[in-house]
Amino acid sequence: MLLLLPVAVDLLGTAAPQLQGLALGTASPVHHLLHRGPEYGAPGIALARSAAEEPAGFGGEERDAAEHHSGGYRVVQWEWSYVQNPYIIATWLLVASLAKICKSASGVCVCVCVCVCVYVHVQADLMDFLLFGALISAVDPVAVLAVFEEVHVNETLFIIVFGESLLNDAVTVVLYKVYISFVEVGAANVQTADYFKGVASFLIVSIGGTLVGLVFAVILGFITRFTKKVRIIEPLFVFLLVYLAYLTAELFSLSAILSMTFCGIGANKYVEANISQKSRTTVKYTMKNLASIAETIIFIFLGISAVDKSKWAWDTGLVSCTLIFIFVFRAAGVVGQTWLLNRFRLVPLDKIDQVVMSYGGLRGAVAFALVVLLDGEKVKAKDYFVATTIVVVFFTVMFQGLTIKPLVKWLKVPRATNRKPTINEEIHERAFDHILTAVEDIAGLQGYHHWRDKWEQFDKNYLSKLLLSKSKYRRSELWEAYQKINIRDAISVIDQVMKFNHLELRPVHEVPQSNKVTLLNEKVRRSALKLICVVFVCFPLVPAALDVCQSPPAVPSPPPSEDNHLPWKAGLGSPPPCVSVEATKIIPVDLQQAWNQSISSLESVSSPPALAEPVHPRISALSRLGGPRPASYTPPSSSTSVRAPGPQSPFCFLEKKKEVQEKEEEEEETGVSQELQPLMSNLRPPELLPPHPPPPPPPPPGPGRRRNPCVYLRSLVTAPPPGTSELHSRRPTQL
Amino acid sequence: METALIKYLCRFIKNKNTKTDNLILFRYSFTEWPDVKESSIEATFLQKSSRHRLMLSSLTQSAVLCVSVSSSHLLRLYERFESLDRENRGHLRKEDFQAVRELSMNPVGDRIIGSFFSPGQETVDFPSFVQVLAHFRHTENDRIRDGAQKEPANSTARRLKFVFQLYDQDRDGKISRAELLQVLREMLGMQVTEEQLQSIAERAIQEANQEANQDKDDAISFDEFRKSMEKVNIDHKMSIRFLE
Repeated sequence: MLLLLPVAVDLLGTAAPQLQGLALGTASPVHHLLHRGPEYGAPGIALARSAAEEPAGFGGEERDAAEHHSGGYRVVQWEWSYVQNPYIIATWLLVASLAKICKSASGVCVCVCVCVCVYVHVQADLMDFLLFGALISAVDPVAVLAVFEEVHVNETLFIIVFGESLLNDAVTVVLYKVYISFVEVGAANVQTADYFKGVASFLIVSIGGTLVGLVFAVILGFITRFTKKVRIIEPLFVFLLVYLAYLTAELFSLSAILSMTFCGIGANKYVEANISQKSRTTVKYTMKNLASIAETIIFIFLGISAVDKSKWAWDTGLVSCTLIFIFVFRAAGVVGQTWLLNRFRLVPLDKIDQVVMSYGGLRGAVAFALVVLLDGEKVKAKDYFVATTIVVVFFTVMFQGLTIKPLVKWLKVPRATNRKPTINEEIHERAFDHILTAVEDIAGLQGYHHWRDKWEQFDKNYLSKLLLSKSKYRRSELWEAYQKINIRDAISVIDQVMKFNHLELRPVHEVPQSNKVTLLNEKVRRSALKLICVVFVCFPLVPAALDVCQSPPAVPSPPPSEDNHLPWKAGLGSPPPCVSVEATKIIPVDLQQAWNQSISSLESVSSPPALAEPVHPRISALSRLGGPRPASYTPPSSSTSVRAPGPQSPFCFLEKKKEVQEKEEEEEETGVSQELQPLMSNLRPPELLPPHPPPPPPPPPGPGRRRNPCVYLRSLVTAPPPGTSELHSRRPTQL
Repeated sequence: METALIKYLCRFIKNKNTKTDNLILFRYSFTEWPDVKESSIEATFLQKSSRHRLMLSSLTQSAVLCVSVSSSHLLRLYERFESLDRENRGHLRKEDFQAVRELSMNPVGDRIIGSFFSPGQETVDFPSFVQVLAHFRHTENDRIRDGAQKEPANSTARRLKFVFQLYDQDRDGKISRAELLQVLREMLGMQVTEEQLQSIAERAIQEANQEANQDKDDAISFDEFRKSMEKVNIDHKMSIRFLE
């Protein structure tokens, strides 16, 4: 698709003689198109078709426009010159992005074969070739990373390739600059000292850039610590400071890319903790879009240059040698460095990893940008280099890019282990870290764990205090992991319930089939997720509750039974969980105690360590809810958390259901959801929605009202209360 | 090579007038220990004297315990042992361990120190010291030795047992809820409240009980523990590279 654009431009060239040569040495064709007069409307295929008619037409238009001012006031005017520049750019980007959508339809139209095979011997000396080598080795593994994300390869390989992509830009650009300065000085004038200076400058530029980036990372972390009240401009801080890091490094002629990279790496932990979820999303997607735009522009430019014969000169020998050598030498480099690394690694990199790493060396935008920036006066062979680079980029992107996925599958690259996180693993892995650090200390070693522990201590004692906002500082990773596990399990429970009732929890970003179905699905999901909180507040109780299912009805203390029916244990074809079928046996129990227990568990889920709230909002919330309410509600203390094991536990769960059912009937849903608003503000993870009645099971014998979950949920859906509109704004997290 | 080694050591022992049952000990030990090079042992003996008599006996005892640590690393460990043993008593006490500064900041430091001492003992001699540390040996170059009756110290089961005993302080074969809470409290300390700890412990016990599908008691047995950790690569997580 992007090659059709240059074709269009070519047609432009033929159709409009006023276009003074796309054959430019230095300025980009984009600029020229932009600076053309109003004869050229939006570029693209449409223009190509109407190119013949356009110039005359537009010329006429301009005359008309000129006449406007002599006449009276015109209601509507043709303001082409006013919007011309952004219009053209936007339309180009739109066309290129549309190409991404229908890329499967259009296929890859391979090169308009305009290779004029001129066997000219390339006039270049060693320095030029060194320069060329530096820039052609810039690897752009965007395609590879995309494949890796799709295929879910193991983390080691992903990290290696990703790390290479982060750092190699910097290395390449630095080397390029060093060689450029050598070339400018002239090969003959380079003395030995200059080589050492080159190496030294390489080191200084890299390390200096890194330090600049880290300084800005600290500043950024510090600033975001105080942005609690101004959430809306948090992304602005992030963008500005990272851009300033870039500019500052450029100011001192240090490596700007490394500066930005390390600014991001350094600030990541603190900024991510400090800024709100919406700001995180904003930053992430804005950057992705900007990156996409930049990539698109560069490839458009690449495509145009490929077809514009005047910008390059072909030399078969150079091209073919380059193609062969980049592959061979990359493989050699990978093998050699892997051998060296394996002497220090605990888990060695095996052959498969090496093959994938060397095959994943696609050249891309950076190489092309660097070659075009060469000065044609200083580097005589620039045109040859440009041609070679274009061919290399096309070849690697198309051939290697298209075949890397089948290769990864064929080689059976070890996949990322996709295990369900369990709380035991989290606890014990943390324990391992401590144990190993202790053992290293006893054995007098200063190994990996020792240094890592030292860094974590430093981070905890100094950096986090400086850069994290107070509320985040006290967070515990294990607790966060625990909550995440709970939420995941809750979602799977809800999924099972839905499946049983032939409803579907669709992810919220899927394209809906119809408005009503979407609405139903979204509301179902939201309401279902509201059920999560309480279910997993009493999570330990749920399996016991479900154990109740199998027992004969109305037995106060049922024996524990098989837990195959537990949703998180059940496989795909398992019988539906008892939540929807059986767990309707309302067993009389002390309501007050059950409510106390559930509230205390709720608090333990949500409260930060520093509990200093004067008036507990839940008390006020509870006071407005009618129905059974603990008269002697007390703020949580450690005494309430000791739950009596055994028969008490299932009842809490069931009893809450009963209670809440009664409450439901007493009040409108709006009332409940409004009351639950203050609860929401308390919950620290904003994704946890307030407790809401879990789906009541289908009608069994016994007291209380029960409803079919389908009916129940539809009732939630069909009468959307205005109070819940606010709740809807808090979307469940994408976990 | 082993026979030459054994002969050499028999000669050495005879010269020092030790008893014949030590001879048998050595014979047994060096069949278990194929990666010891005769030359390295000889070299070390020629350099120093009484110190290495002690070391030799420690080495062989360690070999008997199937530790299979290479001799150069063993020497390094022995030097560390000596540096910890300030008063040159030939064994370590708890205070010597506690003198290591970083351990005081480590949440599981006390437990690790306790794990070096067998129940009821007050001192640790060098073979026990090496034996505990051998749990963390990297398993990369393990060769299957014929006639090895005992499991090597760094097998997965032994490592898990070691960790299990760190949690299970009263050695009743189960990690009770109170013990788990204790560990969590030490690790998380000031960061979470008591109720949060209770929830985490509750959940952990429940998960372990579910996975193993066994008795629903309020504790984690060793089998449940092992089952819950079967997806974690213990060999990689619990290896320290120097002990090869």
